[in-house]
Amino acid sequence: MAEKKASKRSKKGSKASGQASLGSTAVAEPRTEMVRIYIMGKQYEVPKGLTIQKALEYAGMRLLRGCGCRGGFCGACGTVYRTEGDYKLKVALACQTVVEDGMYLTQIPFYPANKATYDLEKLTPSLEAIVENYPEVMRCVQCNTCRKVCPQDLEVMQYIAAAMRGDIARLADLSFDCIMCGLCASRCPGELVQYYIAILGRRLYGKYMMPKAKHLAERLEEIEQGKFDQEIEELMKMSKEDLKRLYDSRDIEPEEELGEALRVGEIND
Amino acid sequence: MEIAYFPGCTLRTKAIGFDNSVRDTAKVFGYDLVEVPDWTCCGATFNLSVDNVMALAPPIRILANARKLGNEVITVCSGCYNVLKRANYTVRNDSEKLAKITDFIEMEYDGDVEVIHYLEFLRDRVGYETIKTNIKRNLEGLKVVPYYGCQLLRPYDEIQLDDPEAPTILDEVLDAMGCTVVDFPHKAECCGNFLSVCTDLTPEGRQAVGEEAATAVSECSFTILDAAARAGADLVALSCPLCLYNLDVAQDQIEKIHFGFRKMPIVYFSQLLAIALGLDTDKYALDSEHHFVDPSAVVRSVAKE
Repeated sequence: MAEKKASKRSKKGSKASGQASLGSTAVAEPRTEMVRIYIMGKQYEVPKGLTIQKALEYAGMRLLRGCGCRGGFCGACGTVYRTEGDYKLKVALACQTVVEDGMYLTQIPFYPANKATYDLEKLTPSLEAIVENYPEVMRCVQCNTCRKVCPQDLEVMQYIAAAMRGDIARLADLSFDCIMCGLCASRCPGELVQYYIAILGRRLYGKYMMPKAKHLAERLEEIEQGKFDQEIEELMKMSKEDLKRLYDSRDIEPEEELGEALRVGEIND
Repeated sequence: MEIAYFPGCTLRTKAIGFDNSVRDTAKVFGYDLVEVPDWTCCGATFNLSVDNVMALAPPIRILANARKLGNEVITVCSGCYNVLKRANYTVRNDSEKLAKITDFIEMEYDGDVEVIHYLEFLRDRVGYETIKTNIKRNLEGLKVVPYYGCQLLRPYDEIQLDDPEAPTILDEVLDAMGCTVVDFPHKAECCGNFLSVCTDLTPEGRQAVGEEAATAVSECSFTILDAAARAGADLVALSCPLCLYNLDVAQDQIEKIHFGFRKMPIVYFSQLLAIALGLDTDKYALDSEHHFVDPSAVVRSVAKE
């Protein structure tokens, strides 16, 4: 494949040298190194160093679906690919992964996943809540394919195992970094939708198991009692300039307190 | 001393008293049961189709994870024990399958972990004499039938725990903890649970499958429970969560069919061991929340102090 690339370059090169031979002093323009990728089976040449997402756009695609935050957080750009000479299927987020030569790409912008509708108020944080809403969870044969295709490297099979034994806290913990790209569901032989099961687990954990934030309850109480009403009313009446002045001269949290807050954050983590 | 332990899913949910009593009683004898890292469901039933290699993935992965802690793993649920032991037997005797499954799960394993049932551990490692010297409560007044069921004993070639027709290991363990062991002829008979898990036993379900099929389940349990009652037992001790569920849940139905049937609590042998060793009886789910036939009265009768 290197030969092919080289031959294309030399063709370009010969054109440039042809110009040079006309007696001008033109210097060969710096050429971008190109790589070959396959989008839905068709070959394209794109500059090396682009992300998959940018490469798709370079190739002329306009991304209406399967593209969201472009920052690796939204999970819209799940991609399955394979590279020449390797049987392994690999996965990536298109916005986070740089193209390689010989990449066969398939975008998975959407997957027809089964999503249960439930009233969180009526559930308990238990195995029953999981099984009632997603009975297919018990079809898991623990092949671990979900783990192998998770672009976030999460222990997907482990959190499903936790779900299967009603360990809601472990389910919520292990799935915390899930961006719901759907690649696990796309490869699951048991037709589970791991990420929806996981978000049910996190909702149950958040509502029923996580320790309540005391300071938040106290502040809400203060708001309800009208402690800040007057202050808000004054702010509402202020001119834009006064508001700006007030904002610029605000008290910035002393570093000591900030440090304290950070330490509390660490403990909670 | 630390030793690897595979609790299994049921022991973390319905059979939590089984799990807690096993861990705590082992501690009394100086053993810390350490959970196998990243364990999953074992598959619950050993797959009998020869070419279904996929079913070997969970148990072999569990054993490969257990290998990180040592070359033996203790388990106590009869179902898990059966699956782990037979999966191990399969790969030990079929190198092709071992290669295929380790390649698939992408882990190293060569069959060198021993799967040990907690009963076996009590017999061979702890020893009956040690059990006897640690007894804190007298359980002599408790007439117990040892019930083995199927999965703990069969198939003998692969399991080799005890005689599959006339087993004694549970009798001996119950005897060592001071219970009055009642012998009866249905120790190793099927309780019918494989019928009950695939039969809907709700009133509507009974109508759908037909009364005859629904009754077939409770009749299996009746044979065992009736024989136990006739032998004069107060309760049944066992090591299988599925048998416990089935023998327990069937008793309402049996009562309707068989006039004069006496209900009997079903408990795990390790729950009795915890009582005998003087541990806090409230910690082992011996209550109506975890049992259809409430064992708490029987427990109170022997654990007054």
